[in-house]
Amino acid sequence: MRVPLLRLNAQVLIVPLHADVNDDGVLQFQGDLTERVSAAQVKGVVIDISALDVVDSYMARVFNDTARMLRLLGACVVVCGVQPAVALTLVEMGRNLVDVPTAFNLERALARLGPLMAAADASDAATGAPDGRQQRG
Amino acid sequence: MLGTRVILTGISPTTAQTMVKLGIDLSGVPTRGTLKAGVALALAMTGRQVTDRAGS
Repeated sequence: MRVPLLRLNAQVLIVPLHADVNDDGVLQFQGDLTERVSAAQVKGVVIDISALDVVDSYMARVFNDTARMLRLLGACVVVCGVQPAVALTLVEMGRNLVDVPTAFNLERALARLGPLMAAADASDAATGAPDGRQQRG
Repeated sequence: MLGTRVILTGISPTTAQTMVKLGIDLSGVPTRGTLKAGVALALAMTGRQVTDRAGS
């Protein structure tokens, strides 16, 4: 079963992962999501993992990789709905396993995504300047 | 060195996947999926933006 990619508006995509997603499914999801973000020029993505009771190191790595891929395409990612047990295992396995901003629920994730998208454009506009100054013309 | 800032655009989904899997670090270079998004960022860098004209 494929992971649904829900279009919220012109800029934001909501991706609810279902409970029975396996290793192949999560790779398929990675491919589908990057294709969709690129095709639809999405600026922000919320990945809802509230249905997942277990996130192993492989799945965490796929989330990290997906977030990097989407950043290359110019989109921001927020993960929401991390279950207490999932948070516990992720921290025990290593702190940087999920190197992605997280939020408590979908509402807060969307609230967080707005400033994040604005900040991404601002910081991208500032990077590349050798002295960090923002050039104005 | 010359003070020019570079934006990398035209990154396809498969290219993005390959770059992440190869561990290529492009965090110092702003990247965008399309030339359109790249031009918008370049204009933002120079303090300009494209807006709709009123009445059209």
